Amino acid sequence: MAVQNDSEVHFRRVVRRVLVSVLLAFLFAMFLIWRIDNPRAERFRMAVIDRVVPNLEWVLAPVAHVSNMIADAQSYSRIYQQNQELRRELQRMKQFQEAARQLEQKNAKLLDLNNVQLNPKLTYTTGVVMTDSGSPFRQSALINIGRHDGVVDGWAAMDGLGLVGRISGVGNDSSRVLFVTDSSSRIPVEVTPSGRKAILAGDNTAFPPLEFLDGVDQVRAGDRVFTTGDGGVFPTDLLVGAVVITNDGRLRVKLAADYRRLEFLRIIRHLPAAPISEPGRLVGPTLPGQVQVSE
Amino acid sequence: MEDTSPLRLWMYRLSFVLVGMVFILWAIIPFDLSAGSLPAPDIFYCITMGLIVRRPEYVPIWTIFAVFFMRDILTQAPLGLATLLIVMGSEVVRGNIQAFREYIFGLEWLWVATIFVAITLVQHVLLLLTLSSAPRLVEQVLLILFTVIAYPVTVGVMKYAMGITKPRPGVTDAWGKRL
Repeated sequence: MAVQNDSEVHFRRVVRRVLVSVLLAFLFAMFLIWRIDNPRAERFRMAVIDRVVPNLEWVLAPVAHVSNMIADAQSYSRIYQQNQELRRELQRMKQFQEAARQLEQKNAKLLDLNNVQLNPKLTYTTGVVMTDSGSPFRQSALINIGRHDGVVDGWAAMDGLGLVGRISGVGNDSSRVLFVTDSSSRIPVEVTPSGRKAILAGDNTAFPPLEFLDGVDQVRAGDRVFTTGDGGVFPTDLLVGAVVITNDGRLRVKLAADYRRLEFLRIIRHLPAAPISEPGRLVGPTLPGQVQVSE
Repeated sequence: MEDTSPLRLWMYRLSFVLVGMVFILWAIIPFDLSAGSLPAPDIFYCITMGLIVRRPEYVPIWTIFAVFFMRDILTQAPLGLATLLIVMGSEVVRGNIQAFREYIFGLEWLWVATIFVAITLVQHVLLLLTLSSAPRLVEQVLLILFTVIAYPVTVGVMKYAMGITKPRPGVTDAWGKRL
């Protein structure tokens, strides 16, 4: 048995070498396609994920659940301390509540005076986080709603309080949320109360920096950061977080969303305002020489 | 006498793929979604390399391709890049299998670490050349460090807990070929 024809061995070796080269060429081509025609490659990726991940939920959900239970159990051990903290916080919250009530009444009066219509289009749909990116170099998550639920690329995702990221990649039953902490995330924001505009540029850390900020001297630590509608991607005035100043003097944002405990994400349905692309016309009978524009 | 039956061989191949899937799933379970955490060592790379040095027939190239390509897809990595480099690295070891068999463990460790550094560097350079966003170097150095430290531990577990060692001279497979 051990005797094998020399030429046969040689032949096998050559065939193997050819097959390996083909495989390597395929992988390199895949990388180039990913780079050159990124949207198409990402659609392919979403299609695969859409097939695979929902079928694995029976594995993923219990493990994540158990780990949360363990984390909760650990928090029992310092329950007394937490109780004290909560009491103190409650005390502080009562002040805020009073202030908020007064502001609410004042706001209602002012809105009434101005006859303001709030945007009724800003509704949301809720998704459950299924998986994260699985790599410390990329910050994103997969949620369990997709095209079938009407999710569209570019919509904003929030937890209860602050902005988390945006939809980037939609499958039939799942979609990917790119976090604002990801190094490819750029979001136009506004710092209040100074009204200065900036770009929130993710850099893979928990505190993304503010870039292209005009008027740095007017921004202070603790100023609140909101989204602007610039570029028509996001709805305006979603809370992002608060400005912090690091030791080296850079301005960064402490995000309002709690990334450690993300379970549900609110996807904000956002339909950008209809663009006005032509000059206004007079309402009236068509004059000679004027072209009638059909509706 | 060592068991080298085809059934056992295919069992090992299947478990390699399953273990790979478990590692991918473990990575993508959403435990903590905050940014800025330390990179975890690439233990599955250690398993792959350790197995190729010890029992290359358990990890044919197509299983390496399948598992790592799946990992690229599911972890939002550049499609095919890491797979390409790891398959190439695995072929380097496979091509020099006789030399690797005779190395003491320290030398094997050094070579596997060198290949991992090369993979990470080439990946970084290719990402920069194609103007894609590459991860920061600090994090990648940490990843390399942790992975290199994890290698002897992984090999130790494989050797002492699962009994996967380099074949003794003269052991043949079911078809009478020398391992």
